[in-house]
Amino acid sequence: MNTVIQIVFYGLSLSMLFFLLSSGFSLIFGLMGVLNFSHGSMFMWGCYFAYLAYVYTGNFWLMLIAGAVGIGVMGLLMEKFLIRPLKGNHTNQILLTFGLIYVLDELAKIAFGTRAYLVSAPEWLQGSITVGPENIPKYRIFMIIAGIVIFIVMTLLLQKTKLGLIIRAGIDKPRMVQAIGIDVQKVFLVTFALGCALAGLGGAIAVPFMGAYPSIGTEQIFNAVAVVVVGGMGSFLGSFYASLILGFAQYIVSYFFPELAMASTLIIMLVVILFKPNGLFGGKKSE
Amino acid sequence: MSKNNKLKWIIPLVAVVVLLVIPFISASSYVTSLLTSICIYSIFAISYDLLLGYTGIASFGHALYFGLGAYILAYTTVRLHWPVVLALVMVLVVCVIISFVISFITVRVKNLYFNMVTMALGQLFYVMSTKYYKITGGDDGLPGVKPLIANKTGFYILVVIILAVVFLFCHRVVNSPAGSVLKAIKNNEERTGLLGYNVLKYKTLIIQISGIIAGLAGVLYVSSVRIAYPTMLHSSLTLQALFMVVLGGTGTLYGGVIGAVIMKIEESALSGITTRWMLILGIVFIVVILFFPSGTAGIFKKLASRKKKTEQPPALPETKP
Repeated sequence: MNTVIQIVFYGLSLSMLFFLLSSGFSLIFGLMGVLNFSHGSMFMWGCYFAYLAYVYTGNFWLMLIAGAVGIGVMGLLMEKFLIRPLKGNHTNQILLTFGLIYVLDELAKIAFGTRAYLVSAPEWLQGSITVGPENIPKYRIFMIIAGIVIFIVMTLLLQKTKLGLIIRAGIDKPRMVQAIGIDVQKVFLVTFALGCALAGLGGAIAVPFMGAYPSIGTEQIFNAVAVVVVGGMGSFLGSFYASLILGFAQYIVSYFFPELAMASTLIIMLVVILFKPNGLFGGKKSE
Repeated sequence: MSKNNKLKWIIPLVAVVVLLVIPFISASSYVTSLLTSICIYSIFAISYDLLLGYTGIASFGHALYFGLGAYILAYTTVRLHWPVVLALVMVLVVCVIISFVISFITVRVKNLYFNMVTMALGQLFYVMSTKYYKITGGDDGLPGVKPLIANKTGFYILVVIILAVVFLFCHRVVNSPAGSVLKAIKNNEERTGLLGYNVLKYKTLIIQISGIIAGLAGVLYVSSVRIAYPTMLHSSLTLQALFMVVLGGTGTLYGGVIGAVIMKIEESALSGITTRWMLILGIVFIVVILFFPSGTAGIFKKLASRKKKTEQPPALPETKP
């Protein structure tokens, strides 16, 4: 019973972390076809922005906003000056984002050094709640709630607003969207910034939980890639389900065989590519 | 045409002779070790160019083979006391198996999956190398590797010869009928398949050749620095391969060599000033991708073709089919 409760809460919080990490990655890929390998580094910078806001203001909510807005602006600049000039050449775009990983990582090392910075959660999120026989840290529960809230907000944004309509249409039939006179460039810009902001928010939420250190980005991009493959390229709902699958799988495996956690994710990913290359939950068809 | 071909062979031949002579002219062991690492990185870059430049697929975990070659040689000779030949066979077998698994899973689907799977596998092996302390020595690495040839100059000459052989071999591969199919795959995979070529077979083949050569580079590297450590598996090494090929020019083979020369000289010049030379590498890489996507070799090619154009008589008007 103990084990089950622990697995449910810890697995769920890990899943939500994966979701925050990968939803923006998936959104950008689905609409623009850009596989942004530097997404993990954006996440890492989100941690640092949040850390800075925490140091200067000490306000938890401002910290989350700083992560999201800071990385959103970074995404805006990146799309305008690095992604757009390549005019849709996807290979070069991937190569560029891969190179950007090292620029962002090295900049972080210059600015903050290689040590890990810890941020403590606000008082009302410290300590733990007793669930049955098990004590679950409050911050884990906050992460789960935050993940679900962001999922709902994003779903509403995609389903109920005009921007969401255009994004969904752009994922399904990009040419048609352009043909009916919508400025696709502007939509790309907004989506890219939004996707990056999600990474930044994810980093800000993760910072009291895992701290801020430079190699977070290269560690986490692995999980983002796996979620996108399992959930289906560009499917927002798919990335939510895939985060749940991979989060639980990774937690359960690491509970019993700690050293095989990453390998389990890789194996799930490879099996999905072999048998359902479009992902378990649909998503964009292979061109 | 034959004269032109002869000219083409003179430059690499001269380069090899110069490389072989240098250690006997300058006695500085620094120059020899710099040249050794340039040659080893050139081999690594050439293996990368086979994928990116000739087949149009980008691997984001190419350091995997390099590191595997290094770690297997280190582990089998240091810990298991195997003879070197047996260790080399082991490297070959493992590189073939790994590249076969990667290609088996990814060649059937879009190249994007190849990008992602190589990325994920590379990360996995890197993390494993830092965690499985008993086998890999963790962050301390596996020291005490015996070089293939104890004499530094002798080892350097071996590396130059291997580089020449690898270059010649890859040159033969890309200029063979199979090489033409690879280039066709790069240009239009679907059409190549429709023409009746077994695209999967060719892609699998080139992924394996590339993996084996990268593993060989790792073997040479570990035997020159005498220690295997996790950075040899890190994706920053993949970025360096990518950088060398893109900077030198993709799809040329010699572009990788040019890139290796530029990168290693930059590294040895900058690492004295700053430990964060990867930052400068990354920025230069991004600028090259943005503004000079065909690299240094592309600039040469452009100049050469401009020269040719002025020499050649005006082309016949195109006839439309």
